Amino acid sequence: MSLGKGDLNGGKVNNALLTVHQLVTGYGRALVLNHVSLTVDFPEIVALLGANGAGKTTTLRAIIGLIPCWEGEIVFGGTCINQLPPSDRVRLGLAYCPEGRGIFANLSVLENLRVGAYTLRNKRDFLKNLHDVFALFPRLKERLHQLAGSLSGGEQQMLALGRALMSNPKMLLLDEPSLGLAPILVKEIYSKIVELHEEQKISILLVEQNVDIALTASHRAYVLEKGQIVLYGLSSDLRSHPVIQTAYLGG
Amino acid sequence: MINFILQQIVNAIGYGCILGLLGIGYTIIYGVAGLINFAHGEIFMIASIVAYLVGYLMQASFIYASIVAIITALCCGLLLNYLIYQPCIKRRSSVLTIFIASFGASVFLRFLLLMLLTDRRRPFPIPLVFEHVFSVGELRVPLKDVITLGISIVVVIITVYIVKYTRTGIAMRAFAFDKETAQVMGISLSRITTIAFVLGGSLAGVAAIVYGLTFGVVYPTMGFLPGLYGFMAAVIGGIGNVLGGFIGGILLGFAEIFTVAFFPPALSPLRPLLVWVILILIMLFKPTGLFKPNIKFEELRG
Repeated sequence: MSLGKGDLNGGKVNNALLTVHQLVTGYGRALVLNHVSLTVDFPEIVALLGANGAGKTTTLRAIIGLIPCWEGEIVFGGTCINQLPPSDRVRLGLAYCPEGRGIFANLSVLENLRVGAYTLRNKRDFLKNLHDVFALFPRLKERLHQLAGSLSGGEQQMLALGRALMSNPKMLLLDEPSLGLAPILVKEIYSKIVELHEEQKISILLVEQNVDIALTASHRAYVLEKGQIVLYGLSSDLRSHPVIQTAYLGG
Repeated sequence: MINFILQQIVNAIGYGCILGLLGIGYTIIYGVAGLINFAHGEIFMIASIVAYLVGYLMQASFIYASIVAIITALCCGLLLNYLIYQPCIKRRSSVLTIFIASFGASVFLRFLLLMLLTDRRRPFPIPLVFEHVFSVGELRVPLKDVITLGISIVVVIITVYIVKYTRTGIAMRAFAFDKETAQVMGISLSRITTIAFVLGGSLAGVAAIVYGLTFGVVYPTMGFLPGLYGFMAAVIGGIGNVLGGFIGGILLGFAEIFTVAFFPPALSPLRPLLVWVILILIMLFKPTGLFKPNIKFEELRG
């Protein structure tokens, strides 16, 4: 497998798509992330694990630009994106699925997908992506003109993923795609995530509380604790790591 | 009596269209920018005065004066956006700060024009052909009322179309619902709020022309009451809901015109009473307005 080339030295890889270097940030004056560094290669699924309040979501929000970066550097595809507003980062090829899905409940499924494709200028690209999203999530096609707020939790998660894919991203930032879903749906969503990664060659940075499934789906993982990376490595190696075993997998 | 009531209905629709157009402006700017733009009534006033200056003093045609007035209103919206709203956003000001800033802009503009022009009422350039009056039985329907209704309906349809079906309109609704998620879809905060101010400003310009045709006068304090009522129309119609804002305006137009018509003249200072009673009742029993608002309600509480 070409996927196994995890870099254990904190990310000095040639084909790094995203490099976060010594990131420091927080909310107001409260420090949340204290010198966090991580990389995501092309194409790779990387999981970011940790307890509640460890700073996982904050990391994603800093990468997409919803909160300013106090210190450090975020490089995406060779460009330093620290100062760019979120909309420009999306144009460079980042896409973000927020925690709790963040679908526009007041818009229809199709309108949500159109917002996802906001950065596309070309109608043909839009139709092609729409076609791809329907191939991945046929259920969305059936619900096309329904208000997104009336969808079930699983369908909303599919919509959030599909919407993120509409912008032709090089990389997806996923915040807790398993949140609030029944175990069977979690499995379904994750199989879709792996599928879209393999078929469309999209790198994925995944934040997840469900450590078991995150380690199964990802190639590499970082563990965040109190705003610092305390552990990283290949997911298969981490699974048997004593810290992961006791703290996250319950024995 | 029946003719009198029909006559009042015609008047109420005319006045209601003005309030409705203003209401849509409030609703769009509030929905996207999260700001009650208190200076909206002043944009409306400035557009009216520009129409007077261009049309009456420079002897330009009505069409020409109207176009210049709408462009002026559009530019006023842009200026408010760049001089007041964007700097507040850059400094991450609280909602209250932005409200007060827009209120300050409103008072500043009103008194600036008052200083320059005094409060004398000046004629709006209504073309003579518009003064024609149709007689339907005993009912008198002025041509200009038909024209104002036509303009209003066309403008409302265009606005609803933009907000409902265009890429920008859908982005505006998404942005109104969830500003953060909309931004991570690639919608630029500064761009979408600028578009909202342009659209809202232009609508205030159209409202100014409709007002001028209906009442025939312009003066620097004319923006205050219609501005206030326009805001109420937006609230009654469910803030963020374009069609709701217009219907709210029509409703207020009826309330206002019918109190004027049926209150004894001795009680004329109490004219706005019914309008406020309606607002209070609607807020008591349906705090989100008559129609579905197009924003998340956590934002209103915060």
